[in-house]
Amino acid sequence: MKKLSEKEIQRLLQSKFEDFKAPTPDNSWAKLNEALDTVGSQGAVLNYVKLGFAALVSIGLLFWYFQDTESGDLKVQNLTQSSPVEKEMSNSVTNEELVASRETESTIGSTPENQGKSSTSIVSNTDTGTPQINQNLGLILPEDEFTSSKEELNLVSNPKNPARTITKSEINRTDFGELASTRSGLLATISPYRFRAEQVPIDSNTVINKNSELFFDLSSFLLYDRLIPNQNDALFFENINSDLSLADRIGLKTKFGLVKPVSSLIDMELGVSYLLLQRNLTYNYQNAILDQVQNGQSNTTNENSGEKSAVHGLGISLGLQHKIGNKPYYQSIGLSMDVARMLSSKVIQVGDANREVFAEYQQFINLSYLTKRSLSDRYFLRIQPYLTYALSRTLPEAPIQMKPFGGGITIGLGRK
Amino acid sequence: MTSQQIIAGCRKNRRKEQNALHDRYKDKVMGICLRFARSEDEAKDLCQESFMKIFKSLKSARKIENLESWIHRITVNHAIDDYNKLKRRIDSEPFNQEEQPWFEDEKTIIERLDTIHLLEIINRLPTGFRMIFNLYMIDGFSHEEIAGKLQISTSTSRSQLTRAKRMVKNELKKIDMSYEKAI
Repeated sequence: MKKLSEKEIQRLLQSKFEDFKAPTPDNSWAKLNEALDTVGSQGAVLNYVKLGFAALVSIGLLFWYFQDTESGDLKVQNLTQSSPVEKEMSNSVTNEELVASRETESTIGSTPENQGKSSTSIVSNTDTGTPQINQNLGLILPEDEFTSSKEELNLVSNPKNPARTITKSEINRTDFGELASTRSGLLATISPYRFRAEQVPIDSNTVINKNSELFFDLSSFLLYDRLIPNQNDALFFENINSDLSLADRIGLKTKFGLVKPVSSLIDMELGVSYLLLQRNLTYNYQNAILDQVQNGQSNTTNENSGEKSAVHGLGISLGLQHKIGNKPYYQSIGLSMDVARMLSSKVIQVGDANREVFAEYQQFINLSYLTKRSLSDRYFLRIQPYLTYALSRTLPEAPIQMKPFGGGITIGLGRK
Repeated sequence: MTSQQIIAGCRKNRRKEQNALHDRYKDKVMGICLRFARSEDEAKDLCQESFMKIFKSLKSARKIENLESWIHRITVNHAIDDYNKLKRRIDSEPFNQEEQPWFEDEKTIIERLDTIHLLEIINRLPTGFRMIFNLYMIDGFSHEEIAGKLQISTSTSRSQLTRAKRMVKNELKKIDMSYEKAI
């Protein structure tokens, strides 16, 4: 029998399929037109999701930024109270702010009854040239150090140089005493926000208290599914294709719990959680008996399966947080485990048959970063981005197992 | 309406030109999709998605000299992308087998068969084999190109093509036997 070259058969097949056309359904344009229309609306939904996510991140960053500033200020205030030396400073203080503060203080400080009561009198009293020490803060500053500070302030408020600002580097030039007196005077005078913070001094030790804390978290997360063929059957899965929109991947979780310090660095967290997840997943695959495929037989069949559910789950969470970093606010990384029992039924579709599944358990392991920012003397904000990974899913009879993984961000409120 | 007018209209997202493009090339695109899809239903979906991709790609395409071959390429690429989303389980299995040469009588059978019957034979192949058979034998890709596009090794591409060819040959043999019986 005559052998042929591969190219010859290639050319033959190519010529057979070159002009091959197959009829399309009559409504194909109608469907395409509809799809083209929905692309715009889906894009709009996606934009809302993106907007929501951006808003959440922005709010988190905003809190972060302002809390960071507050913590920086408070460090300086603590410093005036003989706390450990901190060198972090906010960037600049304008001359206008200085003048405003001086005017305010002149008014307050001019009456004898106000003398010594104002928390901001260090900067203001230029008549006497001596500092009015804030009794509330308990400032104890040597005379010469204050004088040095005052000279710098005079330089700043020089009318010949009205737009001048004190820069961070300039302030850093001064020694510890100057820094302390300048900063505490200016900051307490200028900002009511900072003044409020001053009344509730916090530092890392006050946020990380030694007592238990209660918290309530709200979390938004995004999950993807790994679709894994059941290894215990003798089926060969050629491919598995899933279809799930982005909106169906987003879920919400609330958690209420207790944090108990177990050492100076480790906190233990125990919580009860409720999760809600929309799920409308369809997946199709081609399967066959494994042995037959390996022997070169092609008896594969197409199967379509799916899962429709609004998953409500109730679970418990146990985790450990390890304090990290050297910031004035609390930071930790944590590992926790959630075990959730699904409360709602789930419809699993295998081929043409539908089957309801109840009481499915899911176990998630979470890796998180947590930071706490003080809101008042008792309450604080919890911001916690995290990654999550499903350890197992108990659907032994299903041909394909789903194992979600993803991440989310938690914003919560804590109480000492 | 000329091809350039269609392209210009589609770039502006105008339905009239999009409809014209769809009418002109829908059967051709469907023909390609039928080779890559597992079923007719899937081919319909693939066809629609291909047109969506064609309209999207038209907006960013710099210069299209031959619209038909450009559409062919986009459709094949979309079929590859669609395949790449799928999970495969036998790709990494070692498979050593001698090359499958083609013989004169197989060529005769192919010549005698109409395209629909050839398509049926190809559609009986498991997806991975079918993908590589299509890309190599009909679309003219090299093993290196297939390996790059499907994110597999060239040896995997070669071995899967060998297995695919063996399956096709078996099918051709069956057809030949039934043809002889009929005679």
